[in-house]
Amino acid sequence: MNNWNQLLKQSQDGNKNSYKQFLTEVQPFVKAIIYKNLQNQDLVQDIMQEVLIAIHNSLNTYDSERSAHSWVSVIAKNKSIDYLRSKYHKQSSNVSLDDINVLELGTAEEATINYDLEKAMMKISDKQQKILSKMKIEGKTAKETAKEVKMSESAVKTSAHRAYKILKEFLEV
Amino acid sequence: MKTLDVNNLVNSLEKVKVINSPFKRSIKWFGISFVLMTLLTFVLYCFKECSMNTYPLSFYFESLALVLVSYLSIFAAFLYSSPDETYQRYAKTLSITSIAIWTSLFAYCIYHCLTQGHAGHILHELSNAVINITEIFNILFIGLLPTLWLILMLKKAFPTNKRITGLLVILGSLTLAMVFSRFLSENIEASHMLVWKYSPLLILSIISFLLGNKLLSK
Repeated sequence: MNNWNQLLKQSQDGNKNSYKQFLTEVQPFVKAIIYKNLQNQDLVQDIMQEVLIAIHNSLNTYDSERSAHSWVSVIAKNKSIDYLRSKYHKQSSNVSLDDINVLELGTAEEATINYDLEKAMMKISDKQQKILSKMKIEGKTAKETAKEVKMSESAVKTSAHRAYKILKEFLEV
Repeated sequence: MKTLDVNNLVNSLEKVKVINSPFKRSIKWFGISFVLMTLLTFVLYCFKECSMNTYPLSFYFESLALVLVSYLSIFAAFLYSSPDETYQRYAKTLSITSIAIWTSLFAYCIYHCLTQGHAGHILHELSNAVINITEIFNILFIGLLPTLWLILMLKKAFPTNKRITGLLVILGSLTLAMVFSRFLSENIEASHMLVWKYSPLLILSIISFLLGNKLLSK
């Protein structure tokens, strides 16, 4: 992820391979930002396309001495706002979205954390994801979780412990 | 996003010329516009056969404060058009500062009118609208070209917060034009400044705020 600055700089020089690599690598990050701002999985793909086109059209604005994450993050947030604005205009809503400030929509750092977490979650099995989700998001006990996933309580605890270990190792790298 | 779309973008990639930093662009705009506005003011000065006026020191201080407002607004507009979170934060601070200074000057002008017994002069100013309306034309004559150039420069980048940026564009460019137009005026009474300088600028700034999305869309 740290070589995005380099990839973008090479893209500005017309290097198509670097550009393709950048556009491929940036998609999960953009997805995380859009989802964070809109909280709607269905909209992510639609806006993703808009964001990638905006990135393409704004390549001249990227300063290689500044953070590529921050650059992508602002573009993605703005496209999310534009989408909401046009959606609300279409619905003739009186709700004004013009006062939305990009800074209030979450920073690149927060999006990076979401993105890292999303990637880390992919390292554990579906079963472990389910167990962690029940215990850490829904707040259920090991006993309740065990009942729902049809496992013994000790097996749930062991599974959760292994999952924490994998996540910890991945996020510490 | 389909892979095909990424390939389309990749295939259409060409070498791009990176635009300068917001600071360099703001200095470029400000410097060239300052010279252009000076020339346009000189043209008006000769055309209208204005006489050389002397002004009190407070007039120059007010003008200096307005020039500061102008630069801060322009710099903030350039920062808002640069996709970078740090720049966006700076832009927010600068725009609040410039709007606060401008509002203070506007409020001071109203205060001056009320306390110096110029309140009645406001009606007098309005009754001479046919003559005084040229003050607005002067501002537009001096500031129109730089304003259009500024909009083009911002559109070349990535304008964010388009309504606020739209407001900053007019506030920045026409405030500078207003400073120059003040030197063409013999009447520097607070009521005259309020009705024919500050108020039109306020109205134009509000219009540009409302039209910001259309004005700055690519």
